[in-house]
Amino acid sequence: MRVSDVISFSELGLTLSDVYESMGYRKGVEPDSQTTALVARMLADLEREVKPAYVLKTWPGKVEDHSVVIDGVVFDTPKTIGKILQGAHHFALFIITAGQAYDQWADRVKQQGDILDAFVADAIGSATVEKMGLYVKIKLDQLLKGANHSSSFCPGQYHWPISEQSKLFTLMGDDTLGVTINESYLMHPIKSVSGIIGIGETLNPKITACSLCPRVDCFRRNAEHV
Amino acid sequence: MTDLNLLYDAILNGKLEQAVEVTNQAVAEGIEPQEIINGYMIKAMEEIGLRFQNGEAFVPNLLMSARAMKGSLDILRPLLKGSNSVSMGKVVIGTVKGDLHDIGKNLVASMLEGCGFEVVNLGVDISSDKFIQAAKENKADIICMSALLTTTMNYMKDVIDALEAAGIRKDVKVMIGGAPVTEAFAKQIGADGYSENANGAVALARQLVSA
Ligand code: B12
Repeated sequence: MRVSDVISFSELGLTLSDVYESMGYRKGVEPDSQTTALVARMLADLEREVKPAYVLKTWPGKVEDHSVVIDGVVFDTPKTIGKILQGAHHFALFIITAGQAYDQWADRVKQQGDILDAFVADAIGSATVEKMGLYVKIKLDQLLKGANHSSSFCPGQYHWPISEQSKLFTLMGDDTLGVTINESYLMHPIKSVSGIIGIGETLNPKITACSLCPRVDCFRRNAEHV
Repeated sequence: MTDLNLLYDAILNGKLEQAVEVTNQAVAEGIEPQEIINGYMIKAMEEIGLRFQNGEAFVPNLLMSARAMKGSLDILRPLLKGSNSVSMGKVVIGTVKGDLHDIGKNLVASMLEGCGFEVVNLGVDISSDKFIQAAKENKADIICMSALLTTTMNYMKDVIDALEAAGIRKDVKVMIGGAPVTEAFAKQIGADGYSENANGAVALARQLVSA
């Protein structure tokens, strides 16, 4: 199964509050009026130019020992993640990106030299990608017609080496929305996220990467992730 | 007579135009730049920093204050006497090789710049060679490294080792930060300092250059 789409911001439903949270405001705390006006203006500007995109593909697969095995590719998933994904009979791999157009827009903002504008541009980009993660999860729910799946796990997260990106990209083949990885296994455009979701009756979507992370006071703890 | 408390308020509340206006008035009246900076501007930055630390102010407030501070400093800088006081110090900053999380690093850079440091922002995925080259070229007082991936934060140690090998470790202070980094880790790898946020980073940088 493969689904991929470029979506509009209205479809994505990115809200001002999403952006505020990504800027470090606690849920429900409203920034001062100058900042709210700035965020609204920049978001409107961005919406005209940027179209975030996702691609999601599923494969049959299994967890052997603690490694996720898909189509002969053996991921070096850490024990904890392997255990959480135990029981999966299929896996969905995904790539999400705010796209080249976002980078160009953000570069333009940054070149103008205002530090607050640059920060807001960054926060909007991150919020876009995170919201896109949620969107993909909803898409997956629709496709699976209620079948159970895990939450998502990303190479680079929780002792899962970032070098494992290369395996994920190998499996995705040319189907990467133009997102590439460099020799440090980092994705370009920067505002991109990749990951894996296990599909299987016994899996628990409530066990998230956040719940594994020891940083209990993180400002994004239990934010609604992918 | 200009009321310099208005400058303090302007910087605290992040009002660039007001800060510039009051600074210009003060300069016209012949008030010593150093007195304006130390007596009012730095105090305002300290207060906004405190509010940030207490959760009463947020990143945009810090940035607006830094922007106002920079506006005033740009006026005062040419008037400062002696080369030492022209800049607080020179900083080379980057996200280490293997990582590209740069929002926090950019914040640190903006705050340092706002508070009078000269900042060379190298960007992301920066190798030890690049850090060393930039430190040499710019005669940096401080190298700032940022990492958000636990898998790549160890690279900070590689950079410190490389500075040692290049024979310039004693010439430059090393500050590190990023969400997974801790004080203990900084000590362990032989960095000169760590701060958990952009506000603390400025105080730390001041401390390191005056040490
Ligand atoms: C925003 C974000 C992103 C954005 C990137 C934005 C950007 N351009 O930087 C997006 C969504 C694109 C992203 C992607 C990825 N991310 Co990310 N991301 C985050 C997130 C949610 C917030 C980081 C942030 O901006 N914080 C806000 C700033 C203001 O805070 P800060 O960076 O900590 O900086 C402050 C302090 O640390 C300090 N500081 C920072 N640097 C320095 C330096 C010095 C010298 C000093 C003194 C202080 C200092 O001061 C700063 C300001 O106060 C973190 C989670 C987290 N809680 O940290 C994950 C996180 C860092 N990401 C993670 C991962 C794994 C990734 C991906 C590799 C996942 C994947 N496979 O797709 C990708 C890589 C993308 C790519 N292109 O290759 C993991 C890292 C796991 C780990 N423990 O190692 C985290 C922790 C999420 C998680 N829980 O799993 N990410």
